[in-house]
Amino acid sequence: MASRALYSPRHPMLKKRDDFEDILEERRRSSDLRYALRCYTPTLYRGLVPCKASMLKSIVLQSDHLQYVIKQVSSESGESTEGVSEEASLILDEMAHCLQLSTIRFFAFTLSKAFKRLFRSVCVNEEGIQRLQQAVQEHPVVLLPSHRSYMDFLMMSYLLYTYDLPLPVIAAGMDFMSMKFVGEMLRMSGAFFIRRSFGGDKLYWAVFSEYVKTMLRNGYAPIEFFLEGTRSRTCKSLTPKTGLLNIVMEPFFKGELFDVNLVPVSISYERILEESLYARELLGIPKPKESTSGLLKARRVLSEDYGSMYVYFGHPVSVRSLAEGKINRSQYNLLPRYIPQKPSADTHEFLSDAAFRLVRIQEENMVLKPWVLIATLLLQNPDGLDLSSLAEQTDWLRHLALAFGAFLDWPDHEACSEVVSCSLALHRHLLSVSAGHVQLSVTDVPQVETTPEEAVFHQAVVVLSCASYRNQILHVFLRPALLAMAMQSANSNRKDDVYNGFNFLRKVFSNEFILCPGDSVQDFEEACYLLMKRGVLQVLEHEIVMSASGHSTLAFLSSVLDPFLQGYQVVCRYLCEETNENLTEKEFIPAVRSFALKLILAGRLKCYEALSSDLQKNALAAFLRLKAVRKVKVGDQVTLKVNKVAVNSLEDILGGKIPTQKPILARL
Amino acid sequence: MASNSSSSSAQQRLRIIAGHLQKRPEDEHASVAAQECKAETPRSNPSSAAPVPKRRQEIMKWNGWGYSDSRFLFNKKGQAEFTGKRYRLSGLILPSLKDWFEGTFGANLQHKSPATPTVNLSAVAPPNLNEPFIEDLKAAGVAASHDPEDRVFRAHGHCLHEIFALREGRIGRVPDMVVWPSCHSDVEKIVELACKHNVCLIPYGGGTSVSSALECPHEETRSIVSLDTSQMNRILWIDEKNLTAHVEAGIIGQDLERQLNEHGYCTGHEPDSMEFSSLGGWVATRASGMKKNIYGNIEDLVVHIKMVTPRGVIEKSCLGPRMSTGPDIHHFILGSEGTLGVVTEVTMKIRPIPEYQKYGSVVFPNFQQGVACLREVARQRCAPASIRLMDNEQFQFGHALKPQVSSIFMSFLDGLKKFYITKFKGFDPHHLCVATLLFEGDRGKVLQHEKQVYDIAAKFGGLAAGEDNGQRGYMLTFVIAYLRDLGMDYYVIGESFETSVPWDRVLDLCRNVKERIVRECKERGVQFPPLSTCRVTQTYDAGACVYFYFAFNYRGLSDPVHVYEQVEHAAREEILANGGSLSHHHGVVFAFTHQLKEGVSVPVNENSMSTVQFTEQPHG
Repeated sequence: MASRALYSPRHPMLKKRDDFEDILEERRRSSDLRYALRCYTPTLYRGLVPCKASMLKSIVLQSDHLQYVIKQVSSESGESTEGVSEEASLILDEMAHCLQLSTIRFFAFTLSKAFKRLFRSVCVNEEGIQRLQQAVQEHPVVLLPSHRSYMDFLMMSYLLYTYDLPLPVIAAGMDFMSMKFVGEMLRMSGAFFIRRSFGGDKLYWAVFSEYVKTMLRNGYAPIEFFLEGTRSRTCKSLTPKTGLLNIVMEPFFKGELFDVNLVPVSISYERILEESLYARELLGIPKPKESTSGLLKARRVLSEDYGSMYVYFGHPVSVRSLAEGKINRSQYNLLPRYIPQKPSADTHEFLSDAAFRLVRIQEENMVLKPWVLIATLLLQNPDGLDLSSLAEQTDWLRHLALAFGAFLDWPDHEACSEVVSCSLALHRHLLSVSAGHVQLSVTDVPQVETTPEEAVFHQAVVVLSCASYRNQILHVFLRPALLAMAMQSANSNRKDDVYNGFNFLRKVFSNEFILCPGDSVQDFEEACYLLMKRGVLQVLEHEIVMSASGHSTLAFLSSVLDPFLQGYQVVCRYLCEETNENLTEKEFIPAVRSFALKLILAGRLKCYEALSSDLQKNALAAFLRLKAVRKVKVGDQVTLKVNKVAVNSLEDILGGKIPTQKPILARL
Repeated sequence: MASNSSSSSAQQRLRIIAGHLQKRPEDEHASVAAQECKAETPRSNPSSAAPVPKRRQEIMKWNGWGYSDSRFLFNKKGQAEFTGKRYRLSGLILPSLKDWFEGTFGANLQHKSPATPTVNLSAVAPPNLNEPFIEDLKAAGVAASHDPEDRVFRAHGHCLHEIFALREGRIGRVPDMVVWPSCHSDVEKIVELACKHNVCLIPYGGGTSVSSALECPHEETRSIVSLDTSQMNRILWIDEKNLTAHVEAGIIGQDLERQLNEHGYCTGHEPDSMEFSSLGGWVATRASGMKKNIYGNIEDLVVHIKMVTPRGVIEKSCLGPRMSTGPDIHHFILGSEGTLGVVTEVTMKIRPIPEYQKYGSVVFPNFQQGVACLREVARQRCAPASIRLMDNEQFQFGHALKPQVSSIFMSFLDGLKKFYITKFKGFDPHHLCVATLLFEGDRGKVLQHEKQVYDIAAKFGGLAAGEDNGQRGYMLTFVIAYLRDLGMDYYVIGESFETSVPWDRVLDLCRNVKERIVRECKERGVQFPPLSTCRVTQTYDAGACVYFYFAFNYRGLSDPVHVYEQVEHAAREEILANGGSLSHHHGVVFAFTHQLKEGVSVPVNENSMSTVQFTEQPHG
C-alpha cells in the first residue's frame, strides 16, 4: 500500500500536505545557551546495537566483507595483506566521522544565532517529525534531503537535535575536508567524507560500503545523504545517483535487515544564500575552492534577509514495500553474503526507478513562494511588466499552479498586489522598479567602464539567478508544458502524433528534468488529464483538440520551456557549424559559451540561459544518449565526434521545422 | 541415573528398555512419551496385535489431534489440565498456562469457540462406488468399508484448514471407500485393480500429514479409495548380523520402536509425530527424527524400499549399503508424498538400545549467543543426539506448561534459580533463551560428551540449567498438537512450519520471518499481536533446521483460515527470500506447489507434479 501511494501522483489537488511550525519562534523567545545545553535524549531504534564511533571502525575492519576484499586485493596486487589492511584502515580514518554531542551543542548555539539573523522563519512540518520519530524506532532510517545549499545538512542536524531525534551521520564530499578546522568540525558533527570519484578502487568501495552498511545494520544512527549527489546550482532537481542508494538497500536485499525506511526531505529557501554564486559558477566564473577564509569572507552574507526556509519531512518509504514484486531477493541466496555482488540488471532498474520516485517526492514537497511565480513571469517578459499587470498575471498563474498541484505557500488574507510587492522587496537586488514598471536588471552597476561582454555577463547573472527561482516550479508545469510544445510542433491533432512529439521531447530533456524512465505513457496521460481539467484541451479517443479558451495557457506553458529549447538549439548549431574534428570534452563548455556569447552580442540570440554550463552539459549528455554525438578516447583525452546529419535534424525538430516522426527518431 | 543398579543382566536390560520407552528415568517428573501408556496396555503378543484398529474412531479424535481421552482443558476453576492417563502430564494441573494463554493471545476464557461435538454423518455424501472394483476386491479377499465414519476419518490430515472445517462440522469430499491391505501382495492387487477399473487411490498411513496430501480433489469424478496401510504393521525379520530390520510400511513409529526394543534394538528415528505416524509416511515425506545426529534422517536409515506403482513394483535387488549406479531410485521415492506409488515394505538400519540417556539444558543471555553456540557445536561435530535452541517466546511458552509444584521447597528452589539467572547473572528474562539437550550412548561417553558441550556453551555465555528444563522442552513438541486443539476452543488458531538454512543466515531468517508474521497479521486485521516464535531444532555441518510456531487470536475475523493461509504464505515467501528451503521435513507437494517453483528452481513445476500424480491415479 505504501508503494502505491508513492506511485500515484494522479490527483494532485487531493494531495494533503501537513502544516508548518516555525522553530525560530521558540528560539527568539528563550535562551540559546540553555537550548544548546539542554538534556538531549533521542528516540532510539529498537534493534540498536550500542557501539561507539571507535568500535565502529574495528567492526568494519574485521568484517567478513572487508577481509575478503583485502585478501582479494592483496592477491591481485601482490602486496601483503597487512599492507592492504593498513591501507584500508587509513581510508577508514580519512572517511570516518566522529560524532560528538559537544560539537553538536556548539553548533546548536552558533547556528541558532546565525539562523535567527538569516531567516525570518524556519518552518518544519511537525507531523513529518512525528512520523520520523515512529520510523526511527521501527527500522533503520535513511534521510534523503534535497540539496540546494550548504545550509542543508547543518539545518538537518540542527532540526533533529531540536526535536530529540537521533543525530544523523552524513555522507559529505571530500572537498569539505580540505577546509581547515571546519572539516574537522563537520566530522565531529557527524559528517563522513567520501571521495568524489573512486570508480575502480575496489578497496575504497569495500571500506566505504561496509562502513555505511555497518552503521545501518547496527542502527547506529540515521544515514543521511543527497540523492542528487551535489548541490543543484539551478534549483532544479538533479538526476539522482544510485550508488549509495544501493548500499543502503543491500542489507534489506540480503535479509540482514527486515526493512529500511527512506525519508525524503524537501528543503526550500525563499532566497538562496548562494544565489549569485551559483549563477557565476554556471557562467564559468570558477567555484572558489572551499576554504575557511572563504567562509569567513562570506560573513557579509549574514547581514542580509533571506526570508523563510521550509523543511518538509516526507512520509517514510519502506524499502520492503518498494521492492515488493520487483526484487527477487533469492538472487542473493547462492553466494555467501560477504562476497560483493554487482547489482543485477533488475536491481539496477529498480534502484534508478526508486531514486527517481524519491526525487519526485522531494520535488512535490518543496514549498514554493509567490516570488517563484513572479520570477517565471518576469523571465517571460524581458522588457518588464507594469505592476498591475504583474499582479494580475501572478494571480492567474497562482490558480494554474494550484490546479496542477503546486505546494504554494501563499499568504492567506492578503491582496495579490500586496503579496507581489512583498516578494519584490525581498528580491530587489535582481530588479529595477521605476514608475510602476518592473524589470529584471542589474542593480548594482559597477562604476568602472564595462565591455559589452561584461555587460552581457552581468545581465546573465541576474537572469540565471532569477531562473533558479522559476526552476523550482518547473516540475509542476513540466508535463503539461511538454504536451503544449508537442502540440505546437505536431502537424495534426492526432493523439499518436502528439504523443510521438511528447515522447521525443521527453527523451531530449530527460537529463534536464526529473522524468522517470519508462513513465512516458503515464506522464502523457497525466499531462492530458491536467490540461483537460483546466479546460484547455479536449482529449478525444484519437484526437487532442485545443479549447477556444486554452490558447493563453498553452502559450504560457510552452514558453516556460522555451529557454531550454533555445539553449539546446544553440548547442546543436554550435556542434554543426563550429566544431572541428578534435573537439575535446573539456573544451566543449567554454566553446559553446563563447559561441552563445557571440550570438547574443550579435543580437541573434536573446536567451541568456543558453550561457548556463548546466544546460550545456545536459544537452551534451542528451545528444550522447541519442547517439548524435559520441565520445572517442584518444590518448588520455576524450574527444567528441559529431554526427552532423543527426544533430542537424535534431535542431530542426526542436525548432519545429520538421514534425517528429517515427523514422527520424529511428535514425537518431 | 537410569541403570545404577547392578542386578542380573536380564533385569538390567528390561530396565533399559523401559527407560528408553519413556525416554527418561523412571522416577522423574513429567514426561510426555506416550509409549509408556502403550506399555501399560496388556497385550499378550504385541508383535502380532494391531495397535491401530481399523476403526480408528475407537481411540482417536475425529476432529483434533491424538487420543480421544487426552486433551487440554480449562477446568471450572479456570486452571488448565491435561486429561487422560496416557502421558506423564495427564491428570496434572498447569497453573501458569491460563495467564500465558490470555496474556499472549489476548484470549479470554469467557469467549469460547467450541467444536461440533459429533460427526454429522448425514452431511457425508453417499459414496460413489465402482461396483466392478468392489467385486474384484472382494474376490481378492481385501478388507474394505464404505462406512461414512471410516471415510470421514481418512479424508484429512492435520492441516489447520482441515481441522478447522471438521470442528465446524463441515465435511467436504471424502473417500468413497476404505481398503485395508494386510500385506504387500494385497497392495499389489489393489493397485492393479485400481488401474483396471479406473479408480483413484490415496495412500493413508498415520493420517498426520500437514501438507494437504490426504485431501480428496474436488474435481475428481472417479471413485476415490483410501488405501489404509495400518494393518500392515509387522516386523517381518530382524537381521542382527547386519543390524537391519525388514518392516511393513504401515507400522506406527511407537509400535516399531517398542517391538524392536523387545529385541534390544531401536531405529532411533523419532519424529515429533512418532506416536501416530507410519514408516511408509516417513519414507514418503523424507522425514527427519529428533535424534538424527546419532541415527540419521530417514534417507540415511533406509536400506531398501519396496514400492508398488501402477507399472509394477519398484525395489533394489540387494541390501548393499551403497551403490554407485545412479540415479538412486530411493531418491525418487523419498519425498514423493504418495504420488508415485504405495510404499509397502522397508528395510531399515537398527541399533542396539543405548545404555544411557540424559537430558540437559543451557540458558543463554540471548538468541544470538545461543545460535553461535550451536554453530560451534556443529563445527566441532559434537552435537548430542538432540540439541535445540528455543527463542525467548518459546521458552516462556514451555514455562507455562510447568505442572503444579508439589512442595513449597520446590517452588522455593524455582524462585532461587530464577533469581540466580536474572539477577545474579544479569540475564534479561525477555531475551534469554534455552537450549535443550539429549545425550545418548554408554555412560562414560555421555558424561564426557556432556562436559564437552557444556564447555562450549560456557564460551558463549551459556549456563547449565538442569535436566528438568531440557525435558520440558521436548515435552512441548509432543503436546503442541494437543495444545492447538485447546487454542481452537478459544478463538486461537495456529500452525507450525519449518525450513533449513545456512548457518550465517539463521539469525536474519528467524528475525525476518517472525517480524513478517507479526506485520502480516497486523495488516490483515488480526486484533492482537500473534505468537510468532521459533527454535533451531537440528544442526548440520552447513546449516540448521528452524521450526516456527505461529498462532493468533482470530476474534473479529470473518475468514480466519484464509487469513492464516495468507500469513503463512507470506512467511514462507520470507523464508525463501532469506535463503531458507521450502521445507526441512514436513513435505510440501500438495500445499505449496506454487512456491516449490521458487524453492527448487527450474525442473520441478506444477506440470511435472501432475504427471507424477498421473501414474498413481491412473487415467487421470
